[in-house]
Amino acid sequence: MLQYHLKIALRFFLRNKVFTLINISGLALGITAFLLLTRYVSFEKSYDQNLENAFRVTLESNYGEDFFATSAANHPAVGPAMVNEFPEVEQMARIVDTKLMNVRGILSYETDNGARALSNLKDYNFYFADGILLDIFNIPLLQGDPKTALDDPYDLIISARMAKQIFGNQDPVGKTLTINSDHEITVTGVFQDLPQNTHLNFDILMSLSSLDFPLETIWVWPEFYTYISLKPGTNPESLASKMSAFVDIHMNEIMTEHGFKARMGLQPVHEIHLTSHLSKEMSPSANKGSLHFLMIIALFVIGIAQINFINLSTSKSLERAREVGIKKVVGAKRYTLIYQFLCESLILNFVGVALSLVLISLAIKPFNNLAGAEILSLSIWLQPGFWIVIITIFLGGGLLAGLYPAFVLSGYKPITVLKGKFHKTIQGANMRKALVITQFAIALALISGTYIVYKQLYFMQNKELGFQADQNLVLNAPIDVDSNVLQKIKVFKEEISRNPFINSTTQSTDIPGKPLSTVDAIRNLGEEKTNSVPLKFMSVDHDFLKTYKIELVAGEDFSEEDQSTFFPLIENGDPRIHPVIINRSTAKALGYADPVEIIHKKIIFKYGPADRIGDVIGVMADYHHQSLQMGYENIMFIYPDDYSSNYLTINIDGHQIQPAINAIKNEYKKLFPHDPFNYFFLDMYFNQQYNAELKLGFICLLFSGLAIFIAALGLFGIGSHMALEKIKEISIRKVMGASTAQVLLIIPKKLLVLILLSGVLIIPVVYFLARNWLNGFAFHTPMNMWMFILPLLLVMAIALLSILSQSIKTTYVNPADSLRND
Amino acid sequence: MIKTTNLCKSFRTEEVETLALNKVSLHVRENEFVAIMGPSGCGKSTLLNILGLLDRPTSGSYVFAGHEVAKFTESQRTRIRKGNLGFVFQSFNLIDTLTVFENVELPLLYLKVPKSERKDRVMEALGRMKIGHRAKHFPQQLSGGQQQRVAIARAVIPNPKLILADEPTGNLDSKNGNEVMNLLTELYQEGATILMVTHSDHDAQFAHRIVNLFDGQIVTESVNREMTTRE
Ligand SMILES: Nc1ncnc2c1ncn2[C@@H]1O[C@H](COP(=O)(O)OP(=O)(O)O)[C@@H](O)[C@H]1O
Ligand SMILES: [Mg+2]
Repeated sequence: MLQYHLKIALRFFLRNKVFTLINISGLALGITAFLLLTRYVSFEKSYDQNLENAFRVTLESNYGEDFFATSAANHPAVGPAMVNEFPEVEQMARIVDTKLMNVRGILSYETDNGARALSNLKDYNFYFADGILLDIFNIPLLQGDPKTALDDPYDLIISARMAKQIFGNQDPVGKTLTINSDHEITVTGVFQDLPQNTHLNFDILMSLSSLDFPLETIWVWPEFYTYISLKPGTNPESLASKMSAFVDIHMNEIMTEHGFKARMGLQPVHEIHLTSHLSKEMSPSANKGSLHFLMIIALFVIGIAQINFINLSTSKSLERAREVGIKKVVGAKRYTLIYQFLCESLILNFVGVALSLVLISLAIKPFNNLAGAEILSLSIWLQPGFWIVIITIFLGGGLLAGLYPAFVLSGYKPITVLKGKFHKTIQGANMRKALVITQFAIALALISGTYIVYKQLYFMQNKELGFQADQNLVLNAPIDVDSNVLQKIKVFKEEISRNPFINSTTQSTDIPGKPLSTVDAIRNLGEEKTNSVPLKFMSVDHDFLKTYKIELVAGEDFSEEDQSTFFPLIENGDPRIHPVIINRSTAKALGYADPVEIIHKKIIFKYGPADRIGDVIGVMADYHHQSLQMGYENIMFIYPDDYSSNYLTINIDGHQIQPAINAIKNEYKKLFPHDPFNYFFLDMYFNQQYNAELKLGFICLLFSGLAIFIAALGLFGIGSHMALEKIKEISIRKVMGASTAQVLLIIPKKLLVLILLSGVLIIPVVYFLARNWLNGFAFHTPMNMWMFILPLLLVMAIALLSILSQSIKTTYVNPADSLRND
Repeated sequence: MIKTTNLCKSFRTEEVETLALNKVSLHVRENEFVAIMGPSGCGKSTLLNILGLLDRPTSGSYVFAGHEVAKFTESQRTRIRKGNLGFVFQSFNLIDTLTVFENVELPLLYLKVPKSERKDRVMEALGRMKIGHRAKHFPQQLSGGQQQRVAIARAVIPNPKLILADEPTGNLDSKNGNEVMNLLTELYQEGATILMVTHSDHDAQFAHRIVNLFDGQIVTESVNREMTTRE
């Protein structure tokens, strides 16, 4: 019987080529989209999954009344103390970014061909770490002794990829890396590249003991990621509950002295990527909301494809009623017919799945590019899990989507067929309407969603930032420097400013778009510590406001000072008073609604270990230091102490970029010959913050486009059947004298009603979801009607086009042809 | 073989209720050839469909081969239909997607007749209807007369006890129509019971008995002399 059904099904498909083609291509695209999206989501969920026993010790501290910030990094003494005091803690490892330890410089090494290559250390993911880290994270050492790899000061191991990049085909072990032409460091081992699905992010590790500090005693330096592994059978919760006593014992004195409270927590490492959004994360975490969003899109797309299938199949009922009726008359039981229709559905799904596998193979490269990770490779064909998903889709789709049409089609009473009345009682018309409404609703939701995501992106990229982002070129400040560096920078600034295409130059520790790393607190002089408000600051010189065109709303800008002697704590027996510029938010937070009033008021802020006094010489307008997702923060500028700058920003003439760059490069090479010359444009750098949204937007665009295409295919198919159902009505109307234009709209009119209905159903849902999403951005585009009306119009236009192409055909038929055989 | 008592059938649409059959009592013995006649809309097809177990009466009794079937469910009716009843329609009702052979084979398929036997029986039936050479063709490639012969082949292939034909010549020219009538007569002579709805007096002359229907009621029944004498 199966063979028989196969034969009949194939014949049916061949006779209904358009139907079959639409069905199969819809299914193939839908399944492909579904598989790709779920693949991406499951990749994001796979981060650090095998590390059940590993935890990160997080640190929560508060400064003011209710300002708590949780940091992913902790004090260096925490790990050793935990191992000592808690028998359930098996191992401990700390890792810290070398940049935060003021390791700056030029890395140079001998390449494959014997030449020396220079690069800025800043460009490497270079960390100090305890050797146990490799154990806790199961990172195999390919060369070197895993027991002792990072035991001694200046032990250094690099990833296999980095080894290849630096040394080519030479054996890396024993090779030296030179830092700032005076430190020679020997590579002692090579570790296997980190998997892509880990939150860790380093290429070079140096032993933590290279840091010449008594780390075991330092409780005030929260920059060290601290990981522990627990003995098997330990309940992490019971350990976590002991942490508060632990903090009290070790930090009581410091907390009283500095007036803050601290708490510590244990964070399962396998949850970090998905759930942790702390300050100082080693790598960006996934946005769980976006992942849910993508899962929804995945379900939507495959849903649309399956709905197509159901709709097209039931709309075939007109043609298949006779077949069903006759088969029943000659003795077919209903279940044989259901079986037959299910076979057809399974065959279509089978071909759809097979095609989607081809599509996936073709999509591997672009998909990986889009995802930014090697998520897909041909090895998926070898994974049983993947096949289980495929078979589930095949059977699930084939049976679920097949069942309804099978029941509808097999449900015909032979009598209705034989009486020739079946065209009046098309089965499943209501269900089909409901499904079409669902499809439209999905399409609308996707288009609206895409539109809103893009609108927000556009809003963020085009809103006034409060500073000038374009025409600002950023260089790394020179690092291979001697005691004359400040003088040289002054010369550099003066020399390039002679160039007519260069407007101004400034040095600073940070730049907009880069999160400010110095987080502390500020209060009015004379007030209690508990009245502190959070503060982030950076040092900038007297040209910063000018170069970035940040508006000064009160007071004045820095004047040029001698940086080299600038920062003594005590001056002539009194505490030194530092001129500072704060932003408007800070002034408000300190209680000054009118910025003018705070000018020359004194404030207290912490810098390093000591409290310092500041004199507010100016208040600047709030500017967006980071993406518009973030609100305005309290920001303070101080004048640089000595040479601490990381960046030089140069404002250039937008029409003369290349000559300006050439001039800058010449001067830089002349003054800082050992520094690599790299530059970037601030606007591009700033906009990188929107990469996640851009990716989300693009994925939305891609897949909602796909979904709409599939839905349009379905409409096209249904349109031809609606036309068929209406052919008699149209013929009669034409006989009665209706013009082609008049009958043309008979079919689409109904459809437009359905679209409006689906709009009524879905728009409130989209509105609600979009509002939530937008509220995640401190600054967001206002919602308006067009966000829903435009998608509605678009869907209508697409629906009309796919239907009209069909009804035009109908309206040109010769009425006699369709009326004759009735 | 067939005995109905006070068979009624009404159709209810939104506004009106049509009484399509009104207390029809009819008795058909085995190996009778009965023609049902009457003006359009008088309930002929409705009656035939009920007698053919395609539809069920609103009230009344219907005994088919000793079973009271008036209240049977669709699946019970399917079971009785299978192999026992053969249908011929005015509009042939062949399945477009099946070849002539496959159309005729269909009833045997549902009777689970083994493949080799199916083939022999189908070819034999087609041969009898003089369309064996068309076995591989699809219905649209055939003339109306040929299509109706295929339909008859399909109706007779399981050797049904009862053949029901609703205006079998209605869509045929007189030459093809005669051929079909001759085939039905042959089947009757071989022992089949035949119920045929027709408009045509000419066709009715082939029957053994003529039942005249008007507004859902049997108005006259007459025995066809010519036929009787021919017997
Ligand atoms: N499915 C139905 N629904 C409503 N009325 C019907 C239906 N089938 C038949 N009728 C009505 O029943 C009456 C008899 O129909 P039918 O048996 O087809 O007549 P005939 O075959 O004698 O031309 C007619 O008035 C017809 O309109
Ligand atoms: Mg009739």
